[in-house]
Amino acid sequence: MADCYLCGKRAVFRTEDGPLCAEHFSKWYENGVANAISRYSMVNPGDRICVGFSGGKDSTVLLAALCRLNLDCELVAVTVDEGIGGYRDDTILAAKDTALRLGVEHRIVSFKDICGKTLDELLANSPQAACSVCGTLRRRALNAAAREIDADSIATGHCLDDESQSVVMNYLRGDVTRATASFNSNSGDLFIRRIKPLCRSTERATVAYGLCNNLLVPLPECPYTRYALRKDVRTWLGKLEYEKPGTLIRIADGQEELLSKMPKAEGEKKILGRCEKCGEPTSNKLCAACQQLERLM
Amino acid sequence: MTKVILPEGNVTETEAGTVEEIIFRLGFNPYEVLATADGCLLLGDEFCSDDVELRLTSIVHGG
Ligand SMILES: [Zn+2]
Ligand SMILES: [Zn+2]
Repeated sequence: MADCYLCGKRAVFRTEDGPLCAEHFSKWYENGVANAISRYSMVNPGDRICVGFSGGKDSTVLLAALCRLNLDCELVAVTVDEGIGGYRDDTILAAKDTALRLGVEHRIVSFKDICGKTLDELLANSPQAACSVCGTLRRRALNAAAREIDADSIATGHCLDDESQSVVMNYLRGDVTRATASFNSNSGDLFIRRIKPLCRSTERATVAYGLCNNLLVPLPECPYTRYALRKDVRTWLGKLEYEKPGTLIRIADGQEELLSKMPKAEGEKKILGRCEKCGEPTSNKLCAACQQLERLM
Repeated sequence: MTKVILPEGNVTETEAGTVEEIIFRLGFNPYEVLATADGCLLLGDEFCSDDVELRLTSIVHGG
């Protein structure tokens, strides 16, 4: 049993600096989030931030950590109800409860509101499209909610593991376009800025923070199967991170350095127009969400 | 035997040992699970005796 190297109390988490007790670990985690926020200038004084809040582990920790940091900004938590039978109802109740406990304004937007159908109804004939359809529509729902509440940015719970997995996946797929798209990319002024305050925090530390601060309730997993490649990459990177701690941050840092050395292609900034159907910004006739919907309806 | 509550909620029993030994023995990747006892997080080298009820939480996010 190890003791906290700062105060001698029982340690709960081993950081690269040494083992920490629950209190010092929580401070350490919050500092990491604060450093990421200033490293990428994610928040300006007075900002209104729409926090994508699914009620899952990462977004719950995101919301709690943002509250604890006492940033000079306003937070509005937004939960997207995809309409997944037997899974979503419990997580939405948990989300409501957490937002109430944290004293954060909470809104719920549903797929049914934005396109007239639940995810289950949309996928009745093509369940294999679940994650891509869900991702596209969730992005649209969050954008719509953010615009409605006049938000300056949308914060999501993507953590370091997600970022590093994406880097490796782009290489594995040979997707040079994505591999060279900038990290915290802002696709023109038509979109609301996206921020990822947990992007320098590991999933492991994120969940540990949630457990230490009694933020997590056991919830059912999404019934739709996940994208297989990410699952493999996640398992593989998790092994490497265990054997060679720091692997995840080295991947993210390496990618960032690589991008900083690349010439900024002028052609990269496509002039965006508006979707003919819904008015969302897009460089095509129809936005990604409307294209998806057209295929499914 | 040490009682272990698995991430999916199933309960199993295993011989006493360190948290990490138990996690390996049950076939998990130690990076992907966190262990708690009485709601308190445990480090990998902590020894779990017979009377400890160990709860494993998967860090992998759902949905
Ligand atoms: Zn301490
Ligand atoms: Zn559209």
